[in-house]
Amino acid sequence: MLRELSIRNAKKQSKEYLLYFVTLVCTVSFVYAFNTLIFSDSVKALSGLEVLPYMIVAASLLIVLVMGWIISYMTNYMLKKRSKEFSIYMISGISNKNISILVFYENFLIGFLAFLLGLPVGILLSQLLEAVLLHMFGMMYTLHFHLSLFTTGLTLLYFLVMLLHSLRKNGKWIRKVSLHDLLLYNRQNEKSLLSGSVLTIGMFFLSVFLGGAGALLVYAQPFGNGYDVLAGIICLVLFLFGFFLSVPVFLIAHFADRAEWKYRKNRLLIFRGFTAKIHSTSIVMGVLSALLMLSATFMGIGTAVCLIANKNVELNVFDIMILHNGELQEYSPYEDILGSSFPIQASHTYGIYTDTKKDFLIVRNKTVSDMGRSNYYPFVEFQYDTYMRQSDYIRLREILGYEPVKLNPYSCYVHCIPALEKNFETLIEQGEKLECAGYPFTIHGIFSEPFSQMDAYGNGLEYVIVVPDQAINQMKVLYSLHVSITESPLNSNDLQSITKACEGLAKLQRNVGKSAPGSNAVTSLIDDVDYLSGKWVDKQNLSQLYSMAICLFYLAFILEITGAAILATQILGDREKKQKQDNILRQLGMNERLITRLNNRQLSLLFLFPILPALIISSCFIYASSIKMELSAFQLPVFTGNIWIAQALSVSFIFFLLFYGVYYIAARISYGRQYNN
Amino acid sequence: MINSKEPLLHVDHIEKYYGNQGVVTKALAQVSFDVQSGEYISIMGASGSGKTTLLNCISTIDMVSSGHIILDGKDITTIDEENIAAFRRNNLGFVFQDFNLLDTLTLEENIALPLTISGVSSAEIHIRICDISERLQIQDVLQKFPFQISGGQKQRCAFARAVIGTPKLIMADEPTGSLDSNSSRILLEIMSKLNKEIGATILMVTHDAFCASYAERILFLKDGEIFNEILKGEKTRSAFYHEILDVLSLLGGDRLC
Repeated sequence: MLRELSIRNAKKQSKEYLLYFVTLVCTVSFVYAFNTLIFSDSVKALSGLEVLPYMIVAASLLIVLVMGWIISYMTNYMLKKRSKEFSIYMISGISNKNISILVFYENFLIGFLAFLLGLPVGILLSQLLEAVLLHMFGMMYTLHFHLSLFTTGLTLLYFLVMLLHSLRKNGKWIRKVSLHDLLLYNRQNEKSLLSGSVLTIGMFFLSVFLGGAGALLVYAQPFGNGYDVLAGIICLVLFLFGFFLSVPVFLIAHFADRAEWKYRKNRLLIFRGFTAKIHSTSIVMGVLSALLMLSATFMGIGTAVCLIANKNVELNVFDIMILHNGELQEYSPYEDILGSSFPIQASHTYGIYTDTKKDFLIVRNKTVSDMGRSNYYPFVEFQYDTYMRQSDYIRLREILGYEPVKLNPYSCYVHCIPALEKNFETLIEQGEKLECAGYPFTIHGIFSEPFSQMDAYGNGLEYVIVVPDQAINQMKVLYSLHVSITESPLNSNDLQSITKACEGLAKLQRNVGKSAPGSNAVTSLIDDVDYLSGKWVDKQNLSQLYSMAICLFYLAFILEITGAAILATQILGDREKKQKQDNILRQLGMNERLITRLNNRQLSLLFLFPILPALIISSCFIYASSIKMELSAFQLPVFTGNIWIAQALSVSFIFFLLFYGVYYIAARISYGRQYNN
Repeated sequence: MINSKEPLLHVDHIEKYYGNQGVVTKALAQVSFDVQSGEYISIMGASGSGKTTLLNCISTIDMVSSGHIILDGKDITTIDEENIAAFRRNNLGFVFQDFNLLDTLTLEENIALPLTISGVSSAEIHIRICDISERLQIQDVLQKFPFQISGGQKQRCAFARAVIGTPKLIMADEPTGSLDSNSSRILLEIMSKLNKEIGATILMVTHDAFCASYAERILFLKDGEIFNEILKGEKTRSAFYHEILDVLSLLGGDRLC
């Protein structure tokens, strides 16, 4: 009997709370898809992604924690909506224990169905994710649908923890609840409507002040240490909850007495319905706004991380760079191997030289300090200005396809990153006696196209002085380089096969270094080998950044679907009240079209309201994190201005709103269906 | 206040069937009657006699299976969906047993609602609310929400909302069904007073003889047909009440519920 009843109820519940059910399905599929990356052989083959599984496990545990609470909350919300039904069971003589068993069965059944449906969706999603990841590292993706038993087991474990936590908690509630409480539940709910005070209005202003202060602390970081960010975060969280607790009362105090405003254009119904809903769900609104804020922040930071990493790769213009330390070298053995392995479009071998002058280095270091990066470690190799021959420079421009330039054979030029261009121009203009081996510098002779200069061991460190060929006779070779442009991008396997085939060649790991004896400078040229670098090796070096971005997107998606699902369920949960209201409006002579329009407007407002503070706060976090990350990733900014942050914000917000929009549309359809029924 | 020239409402041989080809239930059978402008009429009958169906058909909430209902010269059975809302707005006022007030609006806003739908100016809304709230003795609770006041006050608010737009016909479905005897008496006296003072035409469905005794004319329904009709005339309310009880006993001794 109980089992039949639970099956029937489960069917009914899945129909009533379709969005909640869809959210469970989405959670299972996302958890499955991301956890597939832990066990995927193709992903394991990517070197540099060793940290990814740990990150995914950590993110999954966080998701279990958040989702466990949310599933529990949602189930409790739905059970309370069914208080009338439970009271009838109790009156019919079914004990609390048996009702809790009934609820356990039906929720377990819903969860089981969600898991079964989530798995195939997860398999599809995992293939998409794998394809994106492999594409990121230039690997070929082959379609292969199979159910990973390990991933399924892990997903099931996570899902069971979430579900059983919720069932245990709600089972406890049912076993304790009295018939009186169940019968009075709806009335209690109704009486919680709008009881505001001057204190609440004060809370509104305080919360707005805290919001402003929090945003300022995070944005400007006036004290320059972590405490201002921490204080800012606390202020912003307090703002979110304070805002949602007090804003309805503030709105009512402000607008309820304005008869001229509220009685026009049917504002009365929207205004009262909206404020009442926000008031009765203020804590939930605060929680879901915080979830959405976190989601948008993670998405924005993830996008910023990807933009920084991609920019790094983009500025590294050569597919292959082989470095030999301290002297010029013959690269023909490497050239033969490379040529036989990959179609090479063009290549060139040249030297990077150094001297005892540091005019440009001083300006460069000052620029770095002015940018707020005073605590970086200098490289042993870059203690003086670095040079390149004009003939090499012209050839490199040629193979890169840059606009040909006519250089004066008796003048010096500079090729630098855009961030240094202005200061170097000033230096050349002001330094009348500035010269190199007797050759003067040309005013406006500064070039700033991408030139593999963003990090050490490229064409200088952020700049190189291009000198007449004869000028280098008096200089020392810092290192020699062999650069190649390949016909097609190289992937992890290609890079591995190059280092295998070329004896004495190792990948340059920029993030590994050792300090030079007797100085505070460091070097990454640790062993007595030649070093392989270039666009694709550097991309591998950035794989930790990509791993971080993947995990941030993972968290962002789950948090967003959760937040949107809570909101949708909250709004759709008022179906009976809403239908009653619509009937009253019909009796009062409001036409169907207007009723639908008002309902849609209210739905849009309720969907829009929690994301506004969430997006404003997340903008602060994204902005502050992006600035910090750019400074941490490079000593000098690689982006011109902060337009790239606006790009990160807009890209992430577009994705965020698209995803949110799906829930909005689903809620609107569901709303329309309920209305038609 | 009865105008015997042109009836405000003319119900002409209406029938209402429910169900499908297999099982058909006849809810109303050849019901015909007239209501004059300014009249206070009550419809009584046992549960299932068809009185709420009749009210729903007149109020355009339900459609008749056959027959015609003419309100102020317009056949409401032929009004299309597009125009039905405007028709209700301009001609009908409703009072229900469970008040049907919106929880989220104050009493003042609940009363103002039909006027805001009609696009009446806020100044005019204010004047009308002041007037009607005074008549219904609810001026002190206008800023309260429905859950903060008594059932009697709620129903007076619902009645204020029904009459504020000066509809041609006010329909009340068991208006005292959820009220205690004192609140019922206050409401009925106010309804009577408004009927006399402003000439509001009231059509009330009730099963309560005491409640019905406030009307000037009573139609008795039995099994979807008009069984009897009595007029108050010059009789006292007490005498009329006893006459109603007599008719009810003639209905077959059934207890009305």
